[in-house]
Amino acid sequence: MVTEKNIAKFSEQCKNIFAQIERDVIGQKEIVEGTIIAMIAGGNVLLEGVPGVGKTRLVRSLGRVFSLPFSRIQFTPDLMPADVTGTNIVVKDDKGNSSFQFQPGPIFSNIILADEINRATPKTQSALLEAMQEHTVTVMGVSRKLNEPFFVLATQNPIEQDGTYPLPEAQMDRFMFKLIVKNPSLDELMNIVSLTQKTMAEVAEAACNGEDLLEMRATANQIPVADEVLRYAMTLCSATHPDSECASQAAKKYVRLGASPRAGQAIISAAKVKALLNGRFNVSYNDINSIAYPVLRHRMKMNFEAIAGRVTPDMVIKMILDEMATLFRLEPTARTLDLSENTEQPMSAEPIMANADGVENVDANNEVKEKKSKRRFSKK
Amino acid sequence: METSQAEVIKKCRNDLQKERIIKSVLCGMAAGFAVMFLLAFITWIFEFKGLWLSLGLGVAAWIGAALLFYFVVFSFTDMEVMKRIDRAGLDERMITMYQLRGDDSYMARRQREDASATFAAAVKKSGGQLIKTKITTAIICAASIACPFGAGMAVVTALSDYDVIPTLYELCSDSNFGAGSGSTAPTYTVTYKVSGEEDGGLLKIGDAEDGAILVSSSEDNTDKTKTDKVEKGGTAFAKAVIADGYYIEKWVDENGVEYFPNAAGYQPIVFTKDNVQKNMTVNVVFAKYDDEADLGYNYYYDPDNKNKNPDDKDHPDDNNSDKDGDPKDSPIPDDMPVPPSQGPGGGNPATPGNTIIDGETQYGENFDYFHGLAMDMLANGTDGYPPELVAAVEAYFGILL
Repeated sequence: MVTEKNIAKFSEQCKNIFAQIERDVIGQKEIVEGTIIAMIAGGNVLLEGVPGVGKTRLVRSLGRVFSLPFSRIQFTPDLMPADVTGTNIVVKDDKGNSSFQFQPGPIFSNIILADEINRATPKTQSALLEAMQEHTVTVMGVSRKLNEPFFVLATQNPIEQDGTYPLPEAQMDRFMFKLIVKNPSLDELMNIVSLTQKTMAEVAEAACNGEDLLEMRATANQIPVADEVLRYAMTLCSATHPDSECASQAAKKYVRLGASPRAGQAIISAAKVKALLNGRFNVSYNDINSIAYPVLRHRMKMNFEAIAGRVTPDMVIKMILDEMATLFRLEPTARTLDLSENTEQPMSAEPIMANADGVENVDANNEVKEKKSKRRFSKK
Repeated sequence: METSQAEVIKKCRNDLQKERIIKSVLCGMAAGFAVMFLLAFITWIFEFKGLWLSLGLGVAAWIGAALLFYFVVFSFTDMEVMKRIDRAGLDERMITMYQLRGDDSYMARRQREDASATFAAAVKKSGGQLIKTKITTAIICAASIACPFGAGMAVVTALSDYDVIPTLYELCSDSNFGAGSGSTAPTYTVTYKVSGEEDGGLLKIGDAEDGAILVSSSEDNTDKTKTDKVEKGGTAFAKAVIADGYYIEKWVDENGVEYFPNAAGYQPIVFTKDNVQKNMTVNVVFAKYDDEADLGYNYYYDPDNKNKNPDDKDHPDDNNSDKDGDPKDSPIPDDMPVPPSQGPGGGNPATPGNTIIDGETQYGENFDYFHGLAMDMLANGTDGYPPELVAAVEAYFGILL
């Protein structure tokens, strides 16, 4: 049962989380927000970016901010599944009797950083499958539950594809988001260098713990979704399939395989978190549209025509969203109202603030500044 | 929901209602004028006076289509009112609130409060006009195109109905334009009018036969005017079928020019005019026989041209339009036997004018027979008849076989 206290706590904690992360990670606001949304919604994230853009630092900061144990697994071609999940080892007791004892692997943590996941063999990659979806690990026929909250943040390098093993569709589908980490801007780069010249230490402090995260997840899950918005989200997922009844023209032309039902679940879960982050108590079309890119870009398989024409998944998603706007007769995204004066807020709940672009900023006088309406997660 | 909020929503509903009416009228107008255009165009093509039909049906289509659009296409529900309000930047708060209107959970109440606060701010910002009337470009274009086309076509039909402008059919087949299907040369109208002694009898104009127009006198009067279309430079050709007791006195046009296609002195039953270059009217004048004075005398032969217009410049000569030649030339062969002065038929002296072919029998007894011969030859040709008989009939009746 959600109460006003939960809402207030959610607001406060999110504010702190963003503030602390910002102390360690310069820029990358969209990546930070996407990662936090995925964590609150209970999903896993795949980060794709060139080396040195702060992927590992982000994950480590998240571990500290959420006060959760953090574990890093560097995936290499010779990594074995047992190196990830753990294995039984023979142990001798005091009396000299030998017995098998399970030695847990690095996966038995709350936050897992699977670095360069595409370098490991498919067999090792699949060791994460069960953990990512069911949050359990089965070794030698014995299933062991992982600690909650459990969160996998994997990284992969878009270059240096030689000797790598592309993730199978089944595993890709288990990532809620795929975020593209771009190079920092000039200003951000200057700030990064300035900061790291002083110290490389991570200074983010704990903003909440695991239980708080679970509570935030439960709170966000209560955000209502109107039937029209739900229908819009599900139509969007169905439109990615070229042979579905709702197939879009872009999907028929460029997509070989569309998104699974998990994509629909991911969209709704993440949209609820995003709505609450924006201080709203309902999911809107804009929430769905902004979440669509990170949720769908890794779940759609392009056909040969798209590959030959260099049509990226993000381009196809944009085409589908445009078709959806026409189908649902949505007008170009209206600017959210400027509530700067005479805003009657009957309760004390404040809109969540973050420094990411496009998110409402709340100043000390509880005046909400106008939000720009643009897609939250930029496409390639 | 608070009272003020309910009032604003009611106002929004009224605004949507106004928009619905405007859109329905415009769409109905487009449909109505489209119908008007189609009907007016069709009636203009087929020479049918359809101005009032197209106007009436166009207005009816306008009203019917407007009602259809109003009640079916542009009808809206409360949810759609909320959707429309959400477009003012409320991020689907109103439709969520409307959907949760019976829910008493904390989150539903919290959402309602948030929606109400945002709604109030939106109303204040917009000055109470949350919903702006919006007419799509498609509707405006449809009405803008249909209305002038429909009205214009109705005007064209009106003008053609009142004969100010021709119909499309007339335009295509009019000789002055020469644009009809299969007709490349302009045509002229030759009008034949029957006049003369009627004496209580009736004159009849028959149907065309052998390419000619038949004009006759009979007791059944249907019409005294017949028109024929002749191509420019063509030949106008008419034949006369004369009823008993009548004869043709002359063919004369509106300028008084008399036409005789062959032997002078013989009032012909055939009219020809070559090289027609204008519309013309030809009067065929019939006269009734006076039994005692006209019977058998000067019926077709008038060697002294007593019945001919002294100013007549037409002379008989093959088939040319103007007559040339000596009107006193007799077509009767020189070897035609001269009948006895008195024949078995009557007390009149036998003359070439009243004797029949054989030179003995008075025509009064056999006129009908030889008249029938002449008609047969005219209708079916001269095959089977001796050339001498053919020549004699030609000379006697003043015709060309």
